[in-house]
Amino acid sequence: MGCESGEGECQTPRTYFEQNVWGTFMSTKCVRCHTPEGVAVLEKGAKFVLQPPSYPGFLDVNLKMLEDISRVDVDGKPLILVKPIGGDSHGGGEVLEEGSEEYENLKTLVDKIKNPPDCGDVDTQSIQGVINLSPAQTFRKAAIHLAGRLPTADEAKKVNSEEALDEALDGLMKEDLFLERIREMFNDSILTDRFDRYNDGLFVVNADDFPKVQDVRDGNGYDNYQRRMISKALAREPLNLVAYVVQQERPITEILTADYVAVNGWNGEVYGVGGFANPENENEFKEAKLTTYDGTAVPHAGVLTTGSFLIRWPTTPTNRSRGRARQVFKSFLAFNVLKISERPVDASKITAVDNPTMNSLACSVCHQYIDPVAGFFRGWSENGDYTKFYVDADWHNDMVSPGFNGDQMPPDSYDAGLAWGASQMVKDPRFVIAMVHTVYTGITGREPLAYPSDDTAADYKDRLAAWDAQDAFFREASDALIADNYNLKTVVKAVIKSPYFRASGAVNVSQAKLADMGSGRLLTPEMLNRKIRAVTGVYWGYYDGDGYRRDMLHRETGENYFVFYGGMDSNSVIKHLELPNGTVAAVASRMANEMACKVTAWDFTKTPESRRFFPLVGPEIVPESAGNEVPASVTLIKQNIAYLHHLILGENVTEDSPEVQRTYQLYLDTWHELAAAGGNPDLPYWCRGQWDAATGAELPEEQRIYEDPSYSLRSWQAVMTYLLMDYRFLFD
Amino acid sequence: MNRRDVLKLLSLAGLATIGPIGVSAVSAAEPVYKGPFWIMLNAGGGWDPTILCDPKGGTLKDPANPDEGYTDDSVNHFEKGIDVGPFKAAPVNWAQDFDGTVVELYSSEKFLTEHGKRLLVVNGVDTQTNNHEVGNRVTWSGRPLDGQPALAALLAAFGAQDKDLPLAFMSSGGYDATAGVVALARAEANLRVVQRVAYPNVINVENLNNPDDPPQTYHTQETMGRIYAAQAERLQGMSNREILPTHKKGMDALFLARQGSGSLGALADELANVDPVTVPKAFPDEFGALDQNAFGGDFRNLLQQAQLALHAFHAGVAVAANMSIGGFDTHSAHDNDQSRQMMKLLKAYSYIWKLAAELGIENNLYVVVGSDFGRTPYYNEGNGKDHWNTTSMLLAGPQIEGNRVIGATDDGFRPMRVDPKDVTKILPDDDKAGVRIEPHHIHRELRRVAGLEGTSLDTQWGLPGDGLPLLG
Repeated sequence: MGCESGEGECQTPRTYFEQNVWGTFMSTKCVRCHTPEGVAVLEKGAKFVLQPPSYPGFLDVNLKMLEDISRVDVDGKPLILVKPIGGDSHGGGEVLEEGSEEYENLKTLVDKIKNPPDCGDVDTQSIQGVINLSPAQTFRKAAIHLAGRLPTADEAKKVNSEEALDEALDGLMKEDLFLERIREMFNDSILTDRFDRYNDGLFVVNADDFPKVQDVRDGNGYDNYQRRMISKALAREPLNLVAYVVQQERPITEILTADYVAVNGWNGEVYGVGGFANPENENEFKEAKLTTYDGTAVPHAGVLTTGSFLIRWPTTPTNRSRGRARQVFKSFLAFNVLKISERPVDASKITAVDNPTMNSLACSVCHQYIDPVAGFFRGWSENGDYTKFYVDADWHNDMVSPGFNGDQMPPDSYDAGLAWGASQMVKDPRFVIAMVHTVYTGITGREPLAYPSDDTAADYKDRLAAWDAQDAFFREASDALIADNYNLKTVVKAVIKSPYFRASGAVNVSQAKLADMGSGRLLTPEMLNRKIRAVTGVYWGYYDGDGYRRDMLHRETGENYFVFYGGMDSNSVIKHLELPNGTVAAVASRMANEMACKVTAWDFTKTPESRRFFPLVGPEIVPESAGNEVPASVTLIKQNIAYLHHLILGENVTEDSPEVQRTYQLYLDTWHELAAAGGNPDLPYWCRGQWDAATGAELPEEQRIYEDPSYSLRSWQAVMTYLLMDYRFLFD
Repeated sequence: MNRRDVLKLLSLAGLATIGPIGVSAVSAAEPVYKGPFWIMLNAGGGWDPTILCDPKGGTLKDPANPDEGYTDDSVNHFEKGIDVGPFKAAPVNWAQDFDGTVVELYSSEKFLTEHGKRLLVVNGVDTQTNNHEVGNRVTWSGRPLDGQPALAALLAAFGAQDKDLPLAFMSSGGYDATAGVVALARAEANLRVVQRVAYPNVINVENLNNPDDPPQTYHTQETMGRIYAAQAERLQGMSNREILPTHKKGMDALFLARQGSGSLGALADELANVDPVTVPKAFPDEFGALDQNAFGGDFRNLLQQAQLALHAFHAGVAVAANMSIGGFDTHSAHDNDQSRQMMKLLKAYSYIWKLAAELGIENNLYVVVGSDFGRTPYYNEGNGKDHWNTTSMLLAGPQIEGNRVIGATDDGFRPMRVDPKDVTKILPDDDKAGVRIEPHHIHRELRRVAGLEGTSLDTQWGLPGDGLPLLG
């Protein structure tokens, strides 16, 4: 059937369903009884089940339900048109009046389902009027986000088109730091980095199964550094698997279905896996199949069977891995099971029935989802150890049988329940949605928009348009992921190239429509740490007596700022701060002061052509001489300020712009203040140009700068502080 | 040297903290905020009030042979509660063997004996949920809906109005949604770190108290002020021009955050003579000989959360603090594990009041104790207890009359009702003239005594239903 020309905008069944059926009455009238916890479903066993907006892909799931039920006829009429008007003994009686607009809309939808119009791509909805960053600007932002670096000079020159941006992004995603970002994105969900702390990771594997770990724990033949690195590799087994799959561009489904552990040279020590080109390289992996102490082969199922995941989400003999199942839904199926049952519960109803998790409606509403998946974990103990589970062994008869989406787990898979479950879950559309959401949130720092619920709000239509556009983007990204053999890099690239990351402005677009546009997230401590290094060439921290780098934003550095900057320990603090508070602002000020002190005089110790910050001015370039402005010097100072705005903030400003003028005024006022005060020209000890700020090594005596007789160094130091504490440096 | 002297010296040396525009220096005279202060103490995972303040007891299978244990329908594995004034205390304690010496951490009876005078115990609170997420929200915000700000956030926003309070709402976990009414802050009690954060322009904070060798600064006071002023001007200009709401929100938040970081110096001064608390330091008479992590690192961590919050209150830089300890989701080995965590929680409660008294703020402090929900009035096959909507809350503070119990549950730990005209009167659950106590009733009352009632924060984040005069 062609497009309905002459009848206005062509609407697919999905669009029509959302705008004329779901949005106008089904989301209020039908869901009263037909959600999974509704009376019709729970008490009457109705097969017409509508998922709430918290369910991933709820519109598609509900439309599919309507499509299925539209095929069922009663006396020659679709059941879906009979029940709402009170027919066929509808438990809810007459909900819609026959002939009403709502009923007619439902009829139209049924027609559209049976005879879908060909509307081409009209379902692809985007917000018009959004202005995006240029390819070069987008790449700078992406390089900082994904690889913790600035574009190289060559990249800055080359990335001047969308095609060049694609190519440059492909290059970025081959770098090691990109894998670290991938780990961070997935840790935000599975939180296994809780054990990446000191030697905690040494306790996520069983010493009976892997006796070598006991030697590492005891320090027999391993120094502190080696123990820490092995601990890290064990703690990060689930995240390293994700990193490996992404690195190798394997299907992301493998993070659940892998029948191996991704081992690097460090945890290879514990598992007896060797042959690494560089055993100290955390990103060189080998696939290993493990066996327990008695030779039982571990039935690997990717992340799910790693010790770190199993202990991070522990269970008890009576919980029977239900908590783990809930986490599996949340992390890998984008489904928060607890969201489907937030209605009031009456305790007395629970006590009235035997085995409430199966038989009490208050409990079974969630347990019907959780218990079958909990059954995948058979054989895995509370401590994450595997004991062979024989296919004829008993499982709990008072739980819903193991299975997925209504399919029961075949008995011959009972000894590898998670592997079977994983093979089912990756086929579920919600898995792809979960992967897209993980990347989206990991990059932008924001959860996907919630479906607007208040249809009386003045901006409801615009909010709905924003949700629709984002939902359409997620569906496109999901399709692209599948089409590219589940290569997660495809989604990363899609998010980076979308207005959700690169929007920089808009023309004639309402605030509601722009709700999630543009990424300007408060950088996490980890991201800020990398950006400081990327921009200044120097880490914020110091080298300890053993020569190890101690970053001030790392939680294991003595007297660090990790907690004050809102750092997430993946234990009690499990969310990043989205907005700064007073302490975050104060830490940023401290960082700006320390870094400005560290690098300003040091930069002037170099030759102009090798300076990072001040290539256009020397210490002798000052704005005035004998009370008179020196125009040539002022020009050079302003040109260098414009250069710094670009280097540190990514801003393209000219020397006569208001922003450069403001920064110049700061420089000038500081210079005047210092010049007027005169006095001791000594720089504060730690702000001298005495050391290589990148390595901490002392500079040759002839190269050092101890004093600032022309006041220019301290004026530049003020400018550096000003720029390093700026919004555009702290947010990206 | 006291705080005022230190600040005077710093001021003379030109080293006092430079804040952003409008916040010129730390006030040496008075704390910015003088109370009331609020602590929300969360038992994470769903606690069991029947082992604390609402005991039911159990029935021995064979009274002549107690070793046979209790009947299957017993709520508790002990016979009955103990009278402690108006309270019933469960005969439950927690003791640990330290190299052959058994040391009791605490007991419910001792807790109610020690703190009964200040405590209002509200029993029979119906959270109407067995869902952790909803339970957390409803207990600490008064409403089950997503996105509700925690009571602590509202109180912090209310207390911090027009004040420079960088740590107005400190959270170490639990339900800490803010809905944007106040910035959520995280902190730790490391003196050097606090000093460096409080004095970002001071290079060597170690010298802050050294009049013979005063600290150096990165920039002169005037220059630092100029940098902040230029930053504020730039940020305001950017925000005014910004179109994208996500960006604008961040710019405005940073601008506001810089307004509220000046008084961190007060906390740094406060902590100058404070060592991080350990178990033996907190209770030298009882546990002086024990290891600093005795009874578990989570206990020490909870004590440190309390120490930092109380000192932040005393320094006048905070209004409300969330504290939390987990381990209450005892689906197995309930009696052992729940008792252990419960006594850690209660002993930390003791420490809170002890330190508050030492700091002289105990008459201006509210402490609210609660949890996601309660636990079943029966044991599962693993001797655990599962989720149950009935719970209790403990309230204490200057406008809360203590030594009282309000609300009750029946023998099956189901909520009973109270007479709305006289809440001390307990009515059976089938008497519809009565009202089941729900979290929103308690929140409404707490908002009232906090002075929040009728404010824009109160109306914007309204509570359902009618009030109950629980606090008189």
